Amino acid sequence: MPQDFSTWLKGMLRQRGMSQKELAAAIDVTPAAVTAWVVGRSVPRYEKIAAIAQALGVAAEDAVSRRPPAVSSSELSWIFRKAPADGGREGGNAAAFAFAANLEVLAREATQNSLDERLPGGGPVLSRFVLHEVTGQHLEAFLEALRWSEIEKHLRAAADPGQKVGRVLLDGLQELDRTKRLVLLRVDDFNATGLTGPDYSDGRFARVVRRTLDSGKAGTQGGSYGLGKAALWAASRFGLVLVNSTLSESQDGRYERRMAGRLELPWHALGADEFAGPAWFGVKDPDRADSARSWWGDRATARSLYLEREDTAPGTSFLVVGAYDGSGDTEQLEEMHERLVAGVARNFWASMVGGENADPLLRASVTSWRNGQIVRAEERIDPHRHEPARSRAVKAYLDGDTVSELTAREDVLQVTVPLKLPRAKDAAGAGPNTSGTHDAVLLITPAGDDEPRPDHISYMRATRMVVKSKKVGDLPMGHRSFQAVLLAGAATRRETPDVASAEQLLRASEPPDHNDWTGTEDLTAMYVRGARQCVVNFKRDAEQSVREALRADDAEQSEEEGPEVLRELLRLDPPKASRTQGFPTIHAVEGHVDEQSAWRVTVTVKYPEREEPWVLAPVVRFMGRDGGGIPVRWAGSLVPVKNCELTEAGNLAFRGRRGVFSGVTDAASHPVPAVMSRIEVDVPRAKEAKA
Amino acid sequence: MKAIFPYPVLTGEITLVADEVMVDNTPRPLGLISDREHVIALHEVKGRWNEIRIKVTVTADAGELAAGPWTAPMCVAVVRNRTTKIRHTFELRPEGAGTWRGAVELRKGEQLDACEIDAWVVAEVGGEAGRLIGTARDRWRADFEAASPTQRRSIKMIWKDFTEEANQEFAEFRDDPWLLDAQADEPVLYLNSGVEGLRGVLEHATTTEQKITREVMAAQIASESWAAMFNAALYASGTEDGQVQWPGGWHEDVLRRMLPDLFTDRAPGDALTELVEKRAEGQSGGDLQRRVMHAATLQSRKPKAVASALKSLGRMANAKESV
Repeated sequence: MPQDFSTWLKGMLRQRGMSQKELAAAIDVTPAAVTAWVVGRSVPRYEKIAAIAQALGVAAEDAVSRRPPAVSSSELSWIFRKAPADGGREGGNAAAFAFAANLEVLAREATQNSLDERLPGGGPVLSRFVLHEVTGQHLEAFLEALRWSEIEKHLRAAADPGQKVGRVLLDGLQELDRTKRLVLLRVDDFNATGLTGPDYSDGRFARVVRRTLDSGKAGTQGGSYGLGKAALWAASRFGLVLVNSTLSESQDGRYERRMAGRLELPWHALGADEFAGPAWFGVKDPDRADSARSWWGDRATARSLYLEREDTAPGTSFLVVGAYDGSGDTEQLEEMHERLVAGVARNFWASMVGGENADPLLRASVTSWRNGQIVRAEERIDPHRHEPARSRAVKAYLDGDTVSELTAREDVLQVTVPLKLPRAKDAAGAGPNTSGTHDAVLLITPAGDDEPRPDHISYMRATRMVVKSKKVGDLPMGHRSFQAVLLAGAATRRETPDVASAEQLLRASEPPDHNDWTGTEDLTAMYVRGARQCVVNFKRDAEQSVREALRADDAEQSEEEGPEVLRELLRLDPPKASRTQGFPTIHAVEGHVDEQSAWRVTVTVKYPEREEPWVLAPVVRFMGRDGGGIPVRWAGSLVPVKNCELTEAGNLAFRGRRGVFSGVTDAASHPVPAVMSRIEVDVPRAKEAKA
Repeated sequence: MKAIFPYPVLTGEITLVADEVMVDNTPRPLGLISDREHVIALHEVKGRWNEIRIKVTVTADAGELAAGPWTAPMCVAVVRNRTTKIRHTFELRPEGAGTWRGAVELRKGEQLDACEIDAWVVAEVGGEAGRLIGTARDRWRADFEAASPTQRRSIKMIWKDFTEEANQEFAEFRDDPWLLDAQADEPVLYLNSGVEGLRGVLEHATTTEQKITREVMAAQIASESWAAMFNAALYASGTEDGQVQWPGGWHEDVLRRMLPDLFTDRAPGDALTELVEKRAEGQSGGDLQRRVMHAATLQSRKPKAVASALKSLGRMANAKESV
């Protein structure tokens, strides 16, 4: 809702440092007229509004719409919070410590925020990760736009190697000095709400830019821009993140390019001045001491800060300055690209699955640039490529294609797993106080041989983010590989009252990382005793259902198959050939058909060493389709090649461990032309009368 | 023993997998198919089916197939039944490079015991069409007797009360605790449930004494069974044109299992040839029976059973003394 003109004019005069008299002179009216506008006694006519706008140096449109003017980059500055008078020192943003500073966590938390902020009724949220590596003049231009010169001295002062945050900073600064290279990671979302609400007090903007450790869980969306946003700051070597948001509902009459920046430093001192740590990038707020407001930016500024959004759909872009992977094993741009793809795919494959009549909740992509040149074109993350079996399961559920018994390897079995809903404590305000049961959906589908981590169950609710994926234990022997997915709460897409209760219960049972359903303080605070047990039983029942689905009904078999002790002793299956045989075997045969249409073969025979030679009578057979074979004659005698010699009877006597001979078949004995044949050679014992 | 061809063949692996089993157009549970053991268990449909269709997928190395001298490759699934000597081929339809899909059909009256499913890739090589250039790495076995899909199968065992009027055929063996019938088309071990306590010890041994008895008795039953089966199998073998004829079926399985233990330094084929010839010559077979007993002892793991039983007895005696 636009403010009235008097408020707008008052604010603008203060911001511009212009007196009412000066304005009156500039637009050629009496000071009394200006006073009347300022106190709201009258409103100027349109021509006068245009003149006022010109005098204030803003667009006429801004004055007509009574909205704040766009800000040019020259008006921006960094404002650091003064250290508190009590001398307290903060070692950094506590929320950031809750997250491992790696790109997978960042991808997970940022995408989760985007999903939580999905515009109701809109299409899928589009989540786009863009990596920019900048060096040389690109780096210089960016640092200038960022006013690096204003913050660098603070960064160096805060880079205390004795502190956790300080060490990261120091490392980041040294890395920048050494490599003259900076990685910027922009995280865009589209079809999301954007950072709405006023600059201070409550709202999405304030929650992201002003607050820390505010989980915001009371809101209807729950968890939106909660602790997870700290992962963005944690992923920056400098604790520095810029934002540009296109709002879904206007703020002060504006929608596009609401921009701000926030730097998270620990306590530090510059000379005699002590600073609490955090700093904000924006327009100095004339109404508040040492505060910077968000600004409505122009395209040029957004572009120079790598924050220009590619279309007008509402949503937010975060720019992580000096993005890095805290685990230390991903340095190169291409590796970071891969890591982001993997991070999104692993946690959100289910959100990205769509059905015939159900859009996916999320589409995501990763792009990499180096100094304005594209390195890896936009890579749309396809859940079916990353998680074929699991994605198939979710798609079958969305399409209503699940089965109650697995018969084909693409089938998806659907089973119900009950979640008992504990009673909420009355005062906890835990919404619908329905105790009862929620029917969660368990999907099981066979996994292919190449499935990297088979036999897992993945838990999910609301936005189908993977809360946890764990291997199912105690599986029946010789079971088929599978993947299982447990859809609870809103992920079941049902609209019964138990869904909301289940969502609430499970959300309360998620620790800050949202990576399990377990006992939490929230759970204890909101529910009566036994809530934790309900959640634990739910998970256990789900795993048990998987086991039961995999177990063949073999109860009545043992009766028919005789005593177990005998079964093992009377096995009739062909024995596995032992590696070393006690008798001669063919090790290798090579051969071809010559011009006379005879087979010429060279054969290597393997046998155990013994004192007496192995006397063998090699035979060659033309093989039929079903085994067996027709023996053919050798033309002339066999030719010993290695470790063997001809006996008087024309057989071969082998010594050592391995012998080689060659031979040619007699074409006259061939039942079919050699080129139409397939042959095998065998080395039976020769029947020679012992001398 | 590897076959060689007068033309280039595929060296890459060809895999055959069974995807779905339909019995009279009704899909059956996937649990009947074991990818690991390449077995399809069809016991549960015994006698109550007319036609079974098994959907299969065959994959070959598409790169190798494209790069080689082969043209117009196609793939067939081959069903063979050793017992009924039936063989059918089913052309599969290509589905992308190096992949074929289709189904094999098994008809009642043509199938008994178990059949084997193989896949052959054939192509035109050097102007000659229809040449075999590769077969599946693992053949599948569709087993009409198996209740669970596993290659591990033991001979059939049946509890029967030999003393009951209804079991007339057992009347003359009424006091025998067990009996192996190797005459049928498959060997059956009959266990006499009329012998009091036999079933209890063999299936539900609880005390140490019972367990010792169970192990020794099981080894004894097994070794007698193996010896009887071997002799039956040997009699089922013969020679033709001086070449030994393997008997096929369970007879061949028994021979292949035991011959390497009878004659450690002879290939099974050589060993069988010699035995068949000696029998034809009318030799006494004393040497043979000694060897059979040895092989049956190994099959039934008797040495271990006896040794551990004696050790347990010794421990029990010590325990009694120390009380």
